[in-house]
Amino acid sequence: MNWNEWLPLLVVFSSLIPGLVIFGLPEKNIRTRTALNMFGAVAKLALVVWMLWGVYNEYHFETRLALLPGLDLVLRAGPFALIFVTLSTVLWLVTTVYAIGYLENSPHRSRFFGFFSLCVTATVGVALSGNMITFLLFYELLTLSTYPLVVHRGTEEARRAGQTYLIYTIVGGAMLLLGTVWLYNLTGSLEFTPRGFIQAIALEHQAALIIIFILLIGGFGVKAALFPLHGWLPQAMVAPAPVSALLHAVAVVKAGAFGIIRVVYDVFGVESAARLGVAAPLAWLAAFTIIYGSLRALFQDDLKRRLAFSTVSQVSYIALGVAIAGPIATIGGVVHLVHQGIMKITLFFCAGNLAETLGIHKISEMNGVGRRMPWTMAAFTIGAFGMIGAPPIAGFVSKWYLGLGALEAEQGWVVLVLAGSSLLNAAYFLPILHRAWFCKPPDSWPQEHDFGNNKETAWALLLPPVFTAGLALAVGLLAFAPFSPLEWAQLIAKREFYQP
Amino acid sequence: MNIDDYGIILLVVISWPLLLAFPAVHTRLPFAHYLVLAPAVLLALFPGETTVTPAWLLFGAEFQLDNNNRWLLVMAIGIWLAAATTCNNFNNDNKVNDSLISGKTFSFFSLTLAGHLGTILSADAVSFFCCSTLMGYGFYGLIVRQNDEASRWAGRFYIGFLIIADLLVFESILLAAHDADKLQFNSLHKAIIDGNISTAYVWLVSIAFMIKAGVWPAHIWLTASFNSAARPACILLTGVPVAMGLLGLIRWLPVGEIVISDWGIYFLVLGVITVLYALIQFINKGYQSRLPALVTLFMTGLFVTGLGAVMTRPELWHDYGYLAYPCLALLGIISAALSYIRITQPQTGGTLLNRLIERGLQLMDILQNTQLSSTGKLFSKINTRVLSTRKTCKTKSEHGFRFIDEIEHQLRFWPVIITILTLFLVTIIYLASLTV
Repeated sequence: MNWNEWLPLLVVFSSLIPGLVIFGLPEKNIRTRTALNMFGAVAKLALVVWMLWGVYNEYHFETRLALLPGLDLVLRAGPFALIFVTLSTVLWLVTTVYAIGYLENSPHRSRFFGFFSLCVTATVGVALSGNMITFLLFYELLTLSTYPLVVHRGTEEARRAGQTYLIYTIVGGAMLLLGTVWLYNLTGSLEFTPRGFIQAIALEHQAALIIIFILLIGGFGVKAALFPLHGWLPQAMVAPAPVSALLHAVAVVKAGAFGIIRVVYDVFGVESAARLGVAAPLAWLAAFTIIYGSLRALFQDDLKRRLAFSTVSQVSYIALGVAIAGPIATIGGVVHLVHQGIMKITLFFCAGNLAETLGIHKISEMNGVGRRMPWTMAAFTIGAFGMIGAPPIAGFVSKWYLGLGALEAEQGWVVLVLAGSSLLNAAYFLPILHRAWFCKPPDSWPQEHDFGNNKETAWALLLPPVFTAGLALAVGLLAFAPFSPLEWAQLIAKREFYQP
Repeated sequence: MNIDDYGIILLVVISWPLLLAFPAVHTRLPFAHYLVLAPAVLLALFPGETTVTPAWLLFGAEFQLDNNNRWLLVMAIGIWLAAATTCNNFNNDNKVNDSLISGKTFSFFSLTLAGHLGTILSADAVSFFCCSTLMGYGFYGLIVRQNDEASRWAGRFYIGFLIIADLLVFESILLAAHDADKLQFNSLHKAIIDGNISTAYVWLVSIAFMIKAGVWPAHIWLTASFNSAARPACILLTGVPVAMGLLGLIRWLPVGEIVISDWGIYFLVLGVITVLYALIQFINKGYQSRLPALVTLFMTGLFVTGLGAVMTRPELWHDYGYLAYPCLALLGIISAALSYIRITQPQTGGTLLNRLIERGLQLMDILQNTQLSSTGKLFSKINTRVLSTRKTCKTKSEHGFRFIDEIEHQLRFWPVIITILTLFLVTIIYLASLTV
């Protein structure tokens, strides 16, 4: 094995080993735990930057280990894998900083950070998977490592939410397993291949392939919160803010969306999916979810629930971009994977700050909060405008390419869906901003914590949302800059559609 | 420094107000509300034309200063200086605990200014859209900063129309990007002339920018804002959102380069209706506080009528097109001047305006008495009610509430009559144009 063969495995281990060590640390050993967390996050980032540079220069990074006869555990770093790995790694670093500040003085921190690291390990494994079996293993590990995080608070509500989460994801996992086994039975291969690997049997086993597609999309659709499989997501909002950020922006939901892209592009292939007639229904389902999620978000007073339904809506943009099945829409869908993550994590960090600092959980309690917490609300404003699709924030770039892709694929109705969704996004985000910036603040906040020296909140809580808000602005404003998410998305689309 | 080096100033003109929007920066600068305009003044004094094309920005942005948009730049400097001067007086008068220098108002002020200058200088559709959106949302902050019920209503009207207009612009820009190679305005015009862009583009652009410019029937946000917004926002209302809406029509459509006969007729009709509407409103209830709004509507209507004429007969653009930009600048300056006089010199200028309006109203009374008796009675009824409303209003805020009540009450009959009449007019003119 040369160095390039070890690197993907090293990236996975960079969070796994610190995570396992953290489990064994005593609760009071804060410094060691923080140091391990930060070391793991920074080391992973350094390795990922190395891989980015390598893949940009067409180096090949692949780890292949024998798992079962005829089935290997494959970790491979291609452009598509790396865009998700980079997102997870950068946001994990930011979320770790945030979580350290958020969970200060709270119990069971070793358990929390241990599972937190495992969760990111699973996500990176999902991203780097080179075949369906590897994907499935890490996907299930993700389910198991996020469940303790959802129930972390240990309240009755948290346990109920965790139970719901587990039921949904285990059923999803079972569908996925069934689909994978059936697929292996038909094709004899599970290796992700650009433009898919089912072409040879597409005509012969049309009905079976359609059912497999439904099973796989159903399996991934649970985590991607596609309607009607989204029920667990709003309930899981009972988890602490860093977990919500992790669920919505870094790991779980994204892993589902990533899986859908893998199935359409690297299992079925765009052409075969279109020929089987499964792409169009996926597009309709995604469009419906976009509007449904936005409508549900409109009527939530609980801030995190509103953001959760917003995620239901926004993640379906990715599925929509994939289902449109054209090069430009692919760029839109893939780039939204990154952009939505950055914007949504900003919003969840801000929601966490409001809850931790002032005890604000409901939108109706947010009057005048912009005066008390200007930086937090400035970050929230950028995130919210990004979600609406206002230029030049990241969301605009995604919607631009999705709309353009829809026109290119002669599916003009998608543009109307995007417009309708933007309108609904404006309807549920702008009133929050109006309250925060223009309404008179109350005489006292629900549960105000004093951080001393007239500080808005703790630095560890304030810096992450400000950083991610700046990032959301930067990736939109500098969309055409080298190494931007857009450039990577273009590279992926080029590979998928134009390379022989 | 050669001429191309000046291009960097274009970027500074836009980014400097953005930097000053941060409270940490502007609170440390003396005279920040004037300094924020310094790069713009410098650019306006620069004698030549210059362009900058930062490929890394957005989808490849382009900003340009030419002799046309220099007019608008000068207008912008003038009205923003007037607004800045008025702002502090306003804060003192109203005991608002949020001065321009230190408060969040300056952030909105700077953001809107950055968007405004960017809109004027942008030479491609995406930059124009980005800057005008920034300007629009920043301006919402200026409208509602007074934070009373009336200004909130005006803000709701404004933001509702703004979102719809922005969505239409977004859709049109997508169509353009799908059909045209580049999104620079010159390339866009060429693509439209060559027939490469869908006709839906013209529809979307026309409707979007007419909404932004407050052309009838999308004038509601404009009149509501003039009546309820904070004074500095009133000074900026015409020069910022309205003038930029009209600028959008000129920039995004190949005005004077091609016959767009259908839309030419629509522009003519809507322009004439806007003019008539402004006149009728002035006759009906033209008191001082509404004057800048009605003047704006009147001039906007004239401008749109002119555009309609040019669309049907492009050769007119070659004869009179050079007047378009100065006219736009004049539109902003006149309205800003009227608002400024009303705010800063209520004892002199305001009284003079009042007298003029009273005379006008008396003249209208005479006219109404000589008109058809039924119409005259209707006018009298409304005038009596409006005057009684005005007499009972004691404060500006209370007047704002009355204004909203008045709108709701009037919805019952008077605008219905105007709308029916104007729709009838539209139909007749449209049918006539078809037969011709």
